[in-house]
Amino acid sequence: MKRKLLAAIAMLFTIIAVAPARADNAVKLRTLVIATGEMAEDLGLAYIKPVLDEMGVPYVVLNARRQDLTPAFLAASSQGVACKAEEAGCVGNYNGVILTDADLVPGFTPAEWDILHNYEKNFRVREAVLSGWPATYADPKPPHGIYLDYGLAYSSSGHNHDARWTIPEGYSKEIFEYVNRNNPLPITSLAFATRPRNDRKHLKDGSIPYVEPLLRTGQGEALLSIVRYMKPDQSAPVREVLISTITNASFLMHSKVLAYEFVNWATKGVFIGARFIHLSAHVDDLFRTNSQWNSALDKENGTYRLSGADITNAVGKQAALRAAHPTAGNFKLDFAFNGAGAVVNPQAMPLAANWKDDLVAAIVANKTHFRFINHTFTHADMDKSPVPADAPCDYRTFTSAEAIRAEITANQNVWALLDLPERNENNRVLITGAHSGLKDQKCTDNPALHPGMFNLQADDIAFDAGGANPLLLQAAATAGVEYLAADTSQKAQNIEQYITQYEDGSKTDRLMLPRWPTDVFYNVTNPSQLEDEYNYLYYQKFVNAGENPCEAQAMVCSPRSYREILASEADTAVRHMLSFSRWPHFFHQSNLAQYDENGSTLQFDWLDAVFTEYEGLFTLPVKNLPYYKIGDHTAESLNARSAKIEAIWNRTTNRVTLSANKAVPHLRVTGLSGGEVYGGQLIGNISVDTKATTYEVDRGLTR
Amino acid sequence: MNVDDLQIFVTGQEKPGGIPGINGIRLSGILLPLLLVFSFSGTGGATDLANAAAEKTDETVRIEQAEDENRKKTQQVNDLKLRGRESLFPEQAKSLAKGYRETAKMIEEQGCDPKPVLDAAAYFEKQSEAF
Repeated sequence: MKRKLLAAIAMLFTIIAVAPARADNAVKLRTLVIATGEMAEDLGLAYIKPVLDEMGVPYVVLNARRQDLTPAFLAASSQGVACKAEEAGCVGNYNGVILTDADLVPGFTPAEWDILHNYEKNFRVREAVLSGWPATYADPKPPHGIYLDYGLAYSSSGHNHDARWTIPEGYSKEIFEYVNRNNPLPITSLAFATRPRNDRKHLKDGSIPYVEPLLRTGQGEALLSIVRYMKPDQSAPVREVLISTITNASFLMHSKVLAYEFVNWATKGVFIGARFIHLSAHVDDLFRTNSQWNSALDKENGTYRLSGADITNAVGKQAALRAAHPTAGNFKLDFAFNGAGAVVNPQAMPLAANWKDDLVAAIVANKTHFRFINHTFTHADMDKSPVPADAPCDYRTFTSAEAIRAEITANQNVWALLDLPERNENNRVLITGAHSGLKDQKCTDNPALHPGMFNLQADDIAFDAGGANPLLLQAAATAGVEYLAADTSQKAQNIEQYITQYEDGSKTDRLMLPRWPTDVFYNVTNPSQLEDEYNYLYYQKFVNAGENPCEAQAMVCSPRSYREILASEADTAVRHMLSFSRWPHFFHQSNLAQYDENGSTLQFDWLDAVFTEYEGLFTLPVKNLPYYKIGDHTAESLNARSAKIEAIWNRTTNRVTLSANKAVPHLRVTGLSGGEVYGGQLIGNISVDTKATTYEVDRGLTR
Repeated sequence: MNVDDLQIFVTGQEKPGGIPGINGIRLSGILLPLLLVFSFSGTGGATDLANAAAEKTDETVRIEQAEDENRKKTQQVNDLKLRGRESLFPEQAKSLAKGYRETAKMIEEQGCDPKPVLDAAAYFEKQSEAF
């Protein structure tokens, strides 16, 4: 018995000793971007970097012009020695490769191409090419084999294509799931149109490129293709590449449409980070009046305040918008309100709601159809006081944080009086009147008082130059405000950032949440007014001053009709949406006025135009978040971006192991089982900390 | 007048009215022979109606095409406007042109025609100088 036991133990030791070490077949969830230069030199890098940043995807940039690619850079043992996937403990450093240029000439040598391709083959990692010449290059040195070949033959060049989607059925659940494949995609930059060769010409490793075009010109030429490198004895491709021969840049609409798939394809849809499409419309100044543009005078004259009928009309228009646009979901307008206009007497304490006001009554009756945001009690200016205090100033200023705090809390009281929804959640959010307090206007705000100033903003002191009012930040901190709205058109306000550079007496910092302005101005209620003011500001004003409007930043080379203005606005807003930013667009209460017998409004004309334009390109549902949630998600993203995340995808077990150098309670990871289904993919929202946790991968290829 | 025109006409007329359970294709099956009879018998009514429908369809197509063109034009204007705000673009375009010149050399060395790439280089050089 004892002898048998000893024999069994000996056999076990033998098995352990002779068993080959098991390969991990693992890669880190990190993308390698191979560029032709720095941001200032490489259009492709400048294009893809903001996409990766916005999505929260970890990446490393290798500048092919200045750095050499080595095997150890791609996969190394703990001793720093290059290793292979089949070796135990060898983990590939990247689960996806993005090339900003197709041939990386002259920085990348044939030897470096071999190193890259060997890594891709060995670790089964995909490659995406953003742009460039569809090269086929043979090594001039012996043995002279072809080291780079995309399997494409040049056909023609052009920069105006109505490209058609031709995604093969086999890829329909994996690639460009989010685009509207029924519509052509206008390509507006230089592109090399190609023909798939699909011949038997092989590379020096014996692989043959097979091309499947995904996007073609009207003549059937390929602009974007998948290349699968096959070997005669293998059914699965040894390498897979997505190549675009279209010039891509961050300012091109077609590039915005294509951007996600370069990342998604390269990473096989498993990556840290995620993307969502957002659209929110903030209607500022509810309960106030707005000045009105007078077309005859080319200046403001008169005022407008919404009526109860306008609100009832907006409820119907909102329902119609949702019904007309499948991606709009349960879209709701957000009203940023000033409670002083909803009470009987703003000076009388305690405040009493003015129920006789039909606007107040209509808002309260329809409150569940909308969302609300604190816009301060009176819309008071929060800018710094002038120095000296008695210097002339276009607006009244506060001299104490307490007085500013009272503006915030009085509006919270009106919220309670009207019993508007989600008050507690919204106490953390503030939009100051005209975003005041975040820059110093130096007391010049009213054009009528400064006829000699062409641009009243010329003397402003920006947020990053010390222009913000510390009293506002102190008041916001003591009132429990966490998120403060900013205007993206203002210097240093177009970035999500914690306000750390001003002392507000608190242990925490306010988070700045930018909002997009539009050209639907605050002082217009109807198309002819908007058309007139638009053409005055962007065209006639320059002509009057002897300047060429075509050369001004707005670049309106001739007056535009309302239809053309809306088209331009929709195009701009869709670009914002396709950048995956959560930032809302802001409007004003005047824009919700009914201007014809059909109940049309500038606000809903804009929304309808934006959704129509968007749905021509994309099919993804649009997220319409309350502002406080935009704040929460922004804070979560900033926290995740500041952490060092370690993630390894073991393809044998199909699980990802994650850890971080600090607690990240909300980390979005695409491709995790159990996550939110969005665009046919699963997006996990997980908590990560220093302790490693493992999650199952689900690439969502059957959804 | 062709069959497709008639089907579009019948569908377009009936759908907004929402006759329950009867869609345009079914109606076309019933009305199509009748309309064909009227059109061939020289009775003006149906022919006029069908012609009007064909004209309407042409008009709709024309409007859609015009809208597509406008959308594309707007997109191009905004592309240009945004490009003008990219302070790094002139240098990036210059680098791209330089890169294509290098590629052209490589293509020539490989025994192929470098013209398309030289054209691309010239295009981006021009773009970089336009700012």
